[in-house]
Amino acid sequence: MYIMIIVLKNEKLLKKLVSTLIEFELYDCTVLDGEGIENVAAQTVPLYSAVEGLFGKELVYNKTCICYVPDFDIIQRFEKVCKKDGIDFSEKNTGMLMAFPCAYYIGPKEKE
Amino acid sequence: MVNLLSFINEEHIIIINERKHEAILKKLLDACLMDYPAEKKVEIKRELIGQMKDVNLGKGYCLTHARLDAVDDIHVAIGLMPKKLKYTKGPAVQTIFCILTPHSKSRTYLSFTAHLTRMLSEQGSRKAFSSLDKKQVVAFIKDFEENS
Repeated sequence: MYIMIIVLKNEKLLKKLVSTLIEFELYDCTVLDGEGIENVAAQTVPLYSAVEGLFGKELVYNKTCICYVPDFDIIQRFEKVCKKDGIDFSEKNTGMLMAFPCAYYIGPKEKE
Repeated sequence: MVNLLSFINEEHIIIINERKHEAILKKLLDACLMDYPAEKKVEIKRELIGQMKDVNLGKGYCLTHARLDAVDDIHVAIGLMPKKLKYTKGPAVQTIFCILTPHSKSRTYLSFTAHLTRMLSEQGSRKAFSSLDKKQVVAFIKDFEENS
């Protein structure tokens, strides 16, 4: 079993991503609203806030998806389908996908 | 991932020459429920009156579906029409997917529709479905499943 985390920076791709997660039967995926560290810094640390204003940088938000995936090959196939559908995590502004083995899990595993 | 061929075979693909909504739906439901005894089929159809919902997927495809517990699994029928028809709101359609699903299979159904819509966006889908050739349609789905 693996934990897969996707940080989607380009929120325009969310619809496609969610559809693909459902297609892969990853129903227990949780989608969270996220914010880039620069945003948080600009909002909480006065020094960064001033710098942020100087460069006029846009605020960066994201969607973070967390789910468990039974097998590693599902993650590989998922990434391949995402890429085919225009969600290429190797591109700069798409976001990132990471996965790691899950050492301990308690929760539902059934598909239905 | 669900495999479309687990739910679709040549028997479930029908040619529709009818041009009226009710007659088309009747034919699709007959194909969808072909494995049920006649009495059960009548009972299910009665329950389905007014429940079928149409979703125009664009590009000539339409989905007509309902959730009901009188069926034990997801049942699919595909109607291929020789000419496009104004079947529901939106653009004219030429291929109709009729799907019945029990509530207990809601998640599988979601995956099925997600997978189906991706297949329909593949190159060559329109050509396969408008060919009116059941074998060609099944071959297209098989190719999609093997290579996607």
